[in-house]
Amino acid sequence: MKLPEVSDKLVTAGLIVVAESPEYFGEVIRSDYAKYGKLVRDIGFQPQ
Amino acid sequence: MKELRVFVLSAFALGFASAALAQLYPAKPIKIVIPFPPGNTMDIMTRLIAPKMSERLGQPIVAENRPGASGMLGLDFVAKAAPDGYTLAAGQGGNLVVLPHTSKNIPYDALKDFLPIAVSTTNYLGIVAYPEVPFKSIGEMISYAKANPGKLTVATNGEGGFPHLAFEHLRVMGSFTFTHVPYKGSAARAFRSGPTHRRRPRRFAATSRAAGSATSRRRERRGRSFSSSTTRSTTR
Repeated sequence: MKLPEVSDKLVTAGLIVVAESPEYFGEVIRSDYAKYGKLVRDIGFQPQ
Repeated sequence: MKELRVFVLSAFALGFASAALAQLYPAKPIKIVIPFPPGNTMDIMTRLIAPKMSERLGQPIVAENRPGASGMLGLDFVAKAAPDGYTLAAGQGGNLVVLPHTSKNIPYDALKDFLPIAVSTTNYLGIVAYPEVPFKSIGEMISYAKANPGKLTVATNGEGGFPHLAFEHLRVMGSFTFTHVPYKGSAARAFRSGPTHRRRPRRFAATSRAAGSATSRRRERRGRSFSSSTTRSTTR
């Protein structure tokens, strides 16, 4: 991810490169999972 | 509006924890399942990274598209594959953290069936509108929506998708109403429906497509764009 030849292309595609640890990634998944679960409940979205 | 994370990642099935196995890994080619069609952002990202992984690991990395059900089919395939570290998934926020809440029939457990390996990218959610709209900022848009209940029309790439949920979040925070027009598939399709939008100039398109895509860039030039976030979405 940190190689310029890779990251430059990703940036060109409009993406933001994030090179973090697996632990960070796991935490992102857990917190986002909780965040969107709460949001879906808060707005009363019915699972389809 | 809060930023929208559409982070991209690789995950692989649990169980690959043996130290002895890890020392030999990888002893054969590794497959990365892309749960989206060719040309999708995930597809581009994975195919950029795969050759570098191959160089580093000394084994071929095979990228395989298994699209369907908004990315659930591909993740399910990996969830049920042998948990030996040779079948990875290029997942993202939609099929890992949103669909488990918005889909009735989610075939995998996003938190238990995968082991995170690496997060690779995030991107933004943007809101664009035609120049005719009578507001120039998100604050003015909310004021307009409050003064004209139901008149604000928002096109997104689908019911329960990131853009839809983000706009719903904004609605709850701003206490206004809007009419949702979900389009199936990419937000680009919502953009392309130009004539319809022209007739209804207050329609919006919320997109999670990469900001640099030709479609959104062109639309932003023609229309008015609002950045949904000025902070990096990974800042926590």
